Amino acid sequence: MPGIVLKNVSKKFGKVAAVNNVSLEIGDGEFVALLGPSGCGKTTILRMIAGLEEPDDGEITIGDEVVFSRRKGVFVPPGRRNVGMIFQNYALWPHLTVFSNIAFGLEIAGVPKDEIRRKVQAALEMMQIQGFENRYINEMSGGQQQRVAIARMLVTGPGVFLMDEPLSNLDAKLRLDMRAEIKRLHADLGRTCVYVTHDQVEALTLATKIAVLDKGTVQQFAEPMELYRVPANLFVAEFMGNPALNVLHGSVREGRLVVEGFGELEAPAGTLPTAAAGVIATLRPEDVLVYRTHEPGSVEARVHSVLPTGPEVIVRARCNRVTLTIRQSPESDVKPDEVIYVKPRQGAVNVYDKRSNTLICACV
Amino acid sequence: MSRKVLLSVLVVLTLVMLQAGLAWGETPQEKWLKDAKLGPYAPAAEDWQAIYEAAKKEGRVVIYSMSSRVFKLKTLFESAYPGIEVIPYDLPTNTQIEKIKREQASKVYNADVCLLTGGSLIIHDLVKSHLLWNFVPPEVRDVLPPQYREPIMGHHISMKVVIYNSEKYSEPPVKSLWDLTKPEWKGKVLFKDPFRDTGNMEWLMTVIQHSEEMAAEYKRVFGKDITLTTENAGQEFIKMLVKNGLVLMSSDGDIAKAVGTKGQKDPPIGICDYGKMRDVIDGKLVFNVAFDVKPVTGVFQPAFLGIVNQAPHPNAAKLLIKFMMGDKQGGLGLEPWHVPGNYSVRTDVVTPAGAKPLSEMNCWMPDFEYIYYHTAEFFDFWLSLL
Amino acid sequence: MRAVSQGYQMDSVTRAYALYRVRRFLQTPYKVAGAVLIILLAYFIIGPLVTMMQTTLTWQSEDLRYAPGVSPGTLTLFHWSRVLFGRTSASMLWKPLMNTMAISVGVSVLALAIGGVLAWLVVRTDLPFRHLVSELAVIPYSLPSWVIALAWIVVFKNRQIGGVTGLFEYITGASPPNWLSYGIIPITLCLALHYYSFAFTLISGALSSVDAELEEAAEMVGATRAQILRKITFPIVLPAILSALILTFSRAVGTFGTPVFLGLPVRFYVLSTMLYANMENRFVSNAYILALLMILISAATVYANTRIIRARRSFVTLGGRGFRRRLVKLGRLKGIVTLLVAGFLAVGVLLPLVVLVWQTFMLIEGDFSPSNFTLHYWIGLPNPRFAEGEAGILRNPMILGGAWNSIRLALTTALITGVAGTLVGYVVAKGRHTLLGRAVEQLTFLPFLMPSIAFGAIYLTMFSRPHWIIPSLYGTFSILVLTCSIKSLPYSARSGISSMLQIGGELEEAAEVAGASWFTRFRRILIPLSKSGFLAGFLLTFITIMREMSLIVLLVSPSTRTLTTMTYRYNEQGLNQMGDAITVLLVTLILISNFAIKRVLRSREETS
Repeated sequence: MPGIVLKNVSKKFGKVAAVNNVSLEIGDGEFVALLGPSGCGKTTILRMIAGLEEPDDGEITIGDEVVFSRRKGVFVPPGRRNVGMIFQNYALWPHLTVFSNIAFGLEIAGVPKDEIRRKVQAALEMMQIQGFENRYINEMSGGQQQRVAIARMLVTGPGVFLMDEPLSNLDAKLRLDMRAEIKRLHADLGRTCVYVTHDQVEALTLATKIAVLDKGTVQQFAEPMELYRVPANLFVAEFMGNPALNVLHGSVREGRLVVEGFGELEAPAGTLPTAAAGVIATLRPEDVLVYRTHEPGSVEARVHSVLPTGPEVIVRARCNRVTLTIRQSPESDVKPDEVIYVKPRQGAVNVYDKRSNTLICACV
Repeated sequence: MSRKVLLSVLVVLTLVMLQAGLAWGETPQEKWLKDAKLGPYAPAAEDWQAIYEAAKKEGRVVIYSMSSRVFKLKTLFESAYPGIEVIPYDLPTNTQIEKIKREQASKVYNADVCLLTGGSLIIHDLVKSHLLWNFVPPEVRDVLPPQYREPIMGHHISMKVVIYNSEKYSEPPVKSLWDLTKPEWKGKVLFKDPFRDTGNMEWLMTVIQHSEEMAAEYKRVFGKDITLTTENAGQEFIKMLVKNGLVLMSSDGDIAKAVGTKGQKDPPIGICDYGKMRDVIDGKLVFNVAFDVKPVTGVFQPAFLGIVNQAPHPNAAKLLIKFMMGDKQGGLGLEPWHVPGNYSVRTDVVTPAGAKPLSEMNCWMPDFEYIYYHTAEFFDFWLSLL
Repeated sequence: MRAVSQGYQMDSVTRAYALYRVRRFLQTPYKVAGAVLIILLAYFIIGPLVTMMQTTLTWQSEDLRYAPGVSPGTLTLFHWSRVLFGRTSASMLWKPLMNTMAISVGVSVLALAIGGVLAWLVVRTDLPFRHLVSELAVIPYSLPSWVIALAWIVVFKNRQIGGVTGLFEYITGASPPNWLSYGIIPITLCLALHYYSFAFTLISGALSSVDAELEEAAEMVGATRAQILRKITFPIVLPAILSALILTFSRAVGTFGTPVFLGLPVRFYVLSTMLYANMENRFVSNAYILALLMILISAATVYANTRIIRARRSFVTLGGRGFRRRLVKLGRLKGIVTLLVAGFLAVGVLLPLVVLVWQTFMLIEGDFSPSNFTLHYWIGLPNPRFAEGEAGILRNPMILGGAWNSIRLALTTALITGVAGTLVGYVVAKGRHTLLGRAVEQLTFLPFLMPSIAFGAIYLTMFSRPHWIIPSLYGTFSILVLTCSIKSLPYSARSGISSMLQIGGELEEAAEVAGASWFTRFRRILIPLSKSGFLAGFLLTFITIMREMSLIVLLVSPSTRTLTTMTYRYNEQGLNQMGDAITVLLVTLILISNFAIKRVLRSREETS
């Protein structure tokens, strides 16, 4: 299975740089999610890999083949890049039946009739939509359409799967089903996958590696848990949290970290610079420990509101003029206006430089 | 190897030069003239049997005609000469000239024969520039007055004259052209739009050319010299006519209908093609020509006949033209035009039954040279009256 | 040495890159198609304008009639100064211009009033038979604009001018006055009775796209029905109203048939008829100056329109999606309003058609009694006593030939513009943000600005001699097809763009990823998907061309005459029954096609 390499790829639309000097190395068989807010350039990168968009500069390699290189003057058209793609709105052809939709690519490739039949059947079976062959697309539900779109991508056996927010049009339950379906597919077939999404949960659940993008550049490219635990910069940190993580302004004095709300926090020796005027410490909601009574290192806080969501309870509490977001188990029985004691979980605070927004030290 | 190449190059070159030489030697127009035996190649006598045979091979003949009676001609000709289809198009003179000029410029050769009025344009725009060729069947050459033999053969003469409703008026209600400018005829004189009919343009311009006679007639009618607000008495007449509410119509047929419909209390007067008398004879309308209007009751309008340059069916065209020139009784292809109001240009054809002889018609003959060089000036003058 | 070799290397890199760009250009179909379109459009749209301008600025051979000494082809301002300031400029330009303006203003205001009120009644009230009313109300627009003028003549022709009595005099015994029979008043009324249906379509579309929630929101805060109408509904549909006003105006400026039939007897000229008169008398330069001025007026109004609605696309009918609508109860007025609407439709829509049909059954014109009934003008054998001896239209090969020409022209044009419109749509949709896409979009819009008769005049000159690679087209069927195609392009391009915006994105890309070539993509994806939109556009163009007269009246030759131009000729000659029978034949053909359009559109709605 081929890997994908992007080298210094840039693309402008008019004067706006949609993708700015991006380099990515996607390993063979990896499932990479391109994650970011709308307009960050993730779809453009996907389309450039597919060949639907021509970069202004740089080089793209799929497997051993250079599919685009400005310097070498190479451009391989989409149909010859050995990639399959699922579009955001599925792009299923409404004038064709399910069978014809799936068979289209095989027909183009000149596959014999009975082999087409066999392959389409296999794809239908794989996606559990046998028996729908003769239906038209608008006679199918959203989830079924999604399955057809996946079957159409699979059937030609491309080395790379490209998916552009394929689940964004589905309702919550279906989305979960399809997520599982896609994950299973990747496990079974082991193809290299590039998956565009703006939903970090989707990225975290599906991907083996995530590239977080903003303003056309890669902010961080890492494995999901690393990305979650140690965001390389504040943008990634804020984008990954749900609910949003606690952002606390602070400073470093004589090697000690002082943040608003909690005051002085202990840090492993040598991890912090001796002095920094402005830093930002982040603390995920689940990493705020809550006590009924005072514990060493904890500070007093007053509960502002309690927001149960079912599997968890989000507690908002004021602590020295700072509002903290705290994730609690559903058993939690804190009440509004109750006084509680809070403290950060050991090793869960990340410290960023205020000016550059980059990570200074992780796991304080 | 290289000799072969050289040889073939030489052969090709020779062929190209031969081709070019042929083209230099003879233009398509000249070739057509030769084949059609027209213009400088016209024989002294025509072999009509051979022409008929050639025409049958051509199969059809396309005629542009300013007279809708061409449809009648079609029936007559097709029964006289089976095997040749007549494709008639009824087009006003203006349109015909415009079409012929553009078609010829585009090397589109649609039409074979033209029957049209507007002598000044025919001579200047068509005949002089060889877009229309004169063809005089030798059989009729001697019975044509010289002005209808060259530069282009005439076919028939019609005229636009003053007509009145003869049911309401037993006597012509007007005695002079100037009477038409009097208040009692305000808004009641009908005339075809000169912008649409060269004939009516010529009519008005002829009146202008005869300004002296118009001035004299004015004095006779009103008993005093005319005071001019325009350049001459002719223009003055036209101006007064327009100011008196001259009604412009789109066809002479409409004028005849408006004047001649039965049972009118207050019918108008019209200046209209004498040929519309057919409807009176048929009993559909009641009008008569005011023959004694002074200085004239109208203006002649000769129609001419010619073969279009590089016509695709020249033999059929010749045959059709000969047929149209008719016989002494006004029969054959002349029949549709052998009616009161039309006169063959042939001197030996009898006057149609029920019509005055041509010599008794009190009309002016337009001067085509004068008209050609005064059209633009007249166009402006007419516009200024609108 | 080294520097030189480096320089050489750089060159080879840039050359390779240039080659690469060329290859990529050729691989990108919308760019190739766009480039080809730009060249073609510039040639067929900008070219004629330049030619026309050139003609007005040089001496022509016809000018020898004015100025015998000049040499044709040399530069001169003579024509412009003559038309604008010369002795005859009042009659040639200023009076017709004033007339044109007066008529256009009158027509647009009247048409808007009628169309607007009718639209409101149909869309927003509980008027009975609303569906039927709206079906009837749009009929005039699919017919030639001069049909009503012909019917007007049949009714109001007065004895003094027409000679034969009209229906009015036949019934009342009194001769209608000239001002009612001919001139500015009947022209304005007849045109308004035609163009109101355009305003109706536009405004009812806008009205039905107004969400009732907007009005309910106002009702919640206590606004009265009149306040809601004035403060909410009216401002929302105002852009549509203004476009209807302006577009009606610009169309009325270019109209030819009605002023020709109703203006001439009282020597009433508008720009279009004056242009025609100049053209017919071969004062071509004058005609072109008038044409350029008409284009200018038209362009100014359309510019005003785009300024007002800020969206160029909306010159096509807005297709309103059906929201939930609340109907205003007419209450006690219901009876009288229904009667008024019924009366209007009967008089304004049905009566003209009935009168025209009746006319064709009258052996002698003006005799409305049953004893005068005949089928002669339909199926009669040639009889020298009637219609100059021509056979009834249904057995007259010339007229049947004309009908065939009409159909052939409409079909060919619809096919060509349909394909061209789809292609334009593809280029514009794909190249939406590129200069190329915008340029193509703007160019295809230009013919809309040119009044039909002026457009015909341009093409007559441009293509009546060989022009670059195009042979002379004068008198051929091709020139009609070409002219009609270019003139209808703005409409088909709009529908092409909107349908391609829907299908041109992912659906095509999915096929591209599957390895389908451009040709395959077009054949298997784009064409099948745009089929129903294509068909609807095809039929609309078909109808537009079937009823077209102003555009081709200068271009037809005897063998390419269409029904519309034949009608003109017969009526001009006073063979009114024949002319009207041809019109009735034409109307029948159009109504049948119109019915077909509705069927197609309906089935399209059902499948999607």
